Amino acid sequence: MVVCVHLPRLELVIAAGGPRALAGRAVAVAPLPGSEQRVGEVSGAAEALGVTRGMVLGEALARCPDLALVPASPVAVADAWEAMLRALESTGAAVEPARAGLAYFQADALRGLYGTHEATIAAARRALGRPARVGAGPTRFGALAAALAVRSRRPLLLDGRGAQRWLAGRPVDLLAFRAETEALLEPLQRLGVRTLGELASLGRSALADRFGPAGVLAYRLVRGEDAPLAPRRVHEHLEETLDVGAASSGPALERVLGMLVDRLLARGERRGRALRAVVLSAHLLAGGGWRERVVFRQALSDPQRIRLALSARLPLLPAPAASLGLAIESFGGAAGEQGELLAGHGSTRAERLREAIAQVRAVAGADAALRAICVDPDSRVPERRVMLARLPG
Amino acid sequence: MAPAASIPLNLPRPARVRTEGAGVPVEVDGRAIELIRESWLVEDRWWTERPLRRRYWEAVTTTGRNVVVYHDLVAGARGGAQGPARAEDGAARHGGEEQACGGWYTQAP
Repeated sequence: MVVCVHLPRLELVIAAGGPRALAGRAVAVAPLPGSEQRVGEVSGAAEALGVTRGMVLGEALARCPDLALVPASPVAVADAWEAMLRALESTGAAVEPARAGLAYFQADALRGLYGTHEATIAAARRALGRPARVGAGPTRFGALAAALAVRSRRPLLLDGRGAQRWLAGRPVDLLAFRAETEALLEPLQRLGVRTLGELASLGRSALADRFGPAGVLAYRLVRGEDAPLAPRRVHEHLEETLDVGAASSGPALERVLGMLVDRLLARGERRGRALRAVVLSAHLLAGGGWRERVVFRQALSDPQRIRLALSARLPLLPAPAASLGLAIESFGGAAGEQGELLAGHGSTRAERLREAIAQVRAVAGADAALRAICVDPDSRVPERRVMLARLPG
Repeated sequence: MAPAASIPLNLPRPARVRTEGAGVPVEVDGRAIELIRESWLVEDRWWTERPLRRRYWEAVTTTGRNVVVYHDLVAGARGGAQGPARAEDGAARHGGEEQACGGWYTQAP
């Protein structure tokens, strides 16, 4: 049984300072300075007036002249979401975060701890400490549909064949929550397909013909098939933050950054490990925040080189900063780079390749670096000849 | 994130194929066929529960493009419940996709 935890409009709630600030008001998250001028998440009242997420700012203000804009705060959202994920993980759950405000975990593994699925969900709610919509179903997609359907604090649990029948009556809008099927929504609505049951009745072949892999995936989701959860790997969170005072930009800010790097490297929890990826963040003087993920070309523990790599990102700050933060997102090896006096050409090359693989995986995920293996090169079935497998590194 | 299982390369992709009476393709994905170069039958894994039977056609379109398509002959016999063969269990779920069944597919030979 997969459990879905959904906190609607998390980005807006945090940016506005709490859910009460949204009650009855048309509010939207303002675009980030220097980015495309489109509004972020919008409140229910704004939605009722025709303002939607991603709408051009001018159009949003034309539709709703009283629309209040709150500065986006990606740093606060990331911090709050990380705290919620850790709270969920504290119950023993292996959590797969989909995006801020939406996460899944497998409840079956926790039955030994809590006894029933209902008790597991109750434990997750207690750990979260804030109202959340919770649904459970045999697959990720079913659990999401259940979580979106509940309006009360009681979770909705779907099981077996009943789940598939129930899912058939749900709107196709649910497909917008998956990046792979999001693009289907508009053509399906134009074709008059309103529910997932109507979509399934079109048949797998017709959907494959019209929409390709996305159509087949949508069919599989409706029929109760989905890929297994891929929970994130839990690691310790190390972060340093400094108020920058008057040094809100320029070389003075670089000195603050240098201090942050020194402090982070001095943390005992690091246990001598090099840094593979870090997150540089800032709270802005004008309100809101800024966040930049930096993956090093090779794992580093030399403060000079880390400073050099990070200082190139400081000019990207959209406005003067009130505070600067640096957090470790992933670690490299336990030791720094150890040069060999008489290293052979082959070992240097292998070491560089290993570093490159680690960098690619830090940027694009664990499945990013694969190698082709000839499994059955003489097979008469073309797809049996070569397979992609994980590259050791 | 959990590492991926092995992923087969060169998976067949669904194709829109129009045929004439004898089942010979005359149009692939909207491109008319100029010439059929070769046709062959592949039968494999008949000893398993997922046997495989495909009629391949190598053709040249009017734009000069060389295409290879096949017709899945097993799926039709089973009432359309069978997709193309999997290299191993779970392999056909590459990228969350599973091929459409009982129809025509393009694939490099």
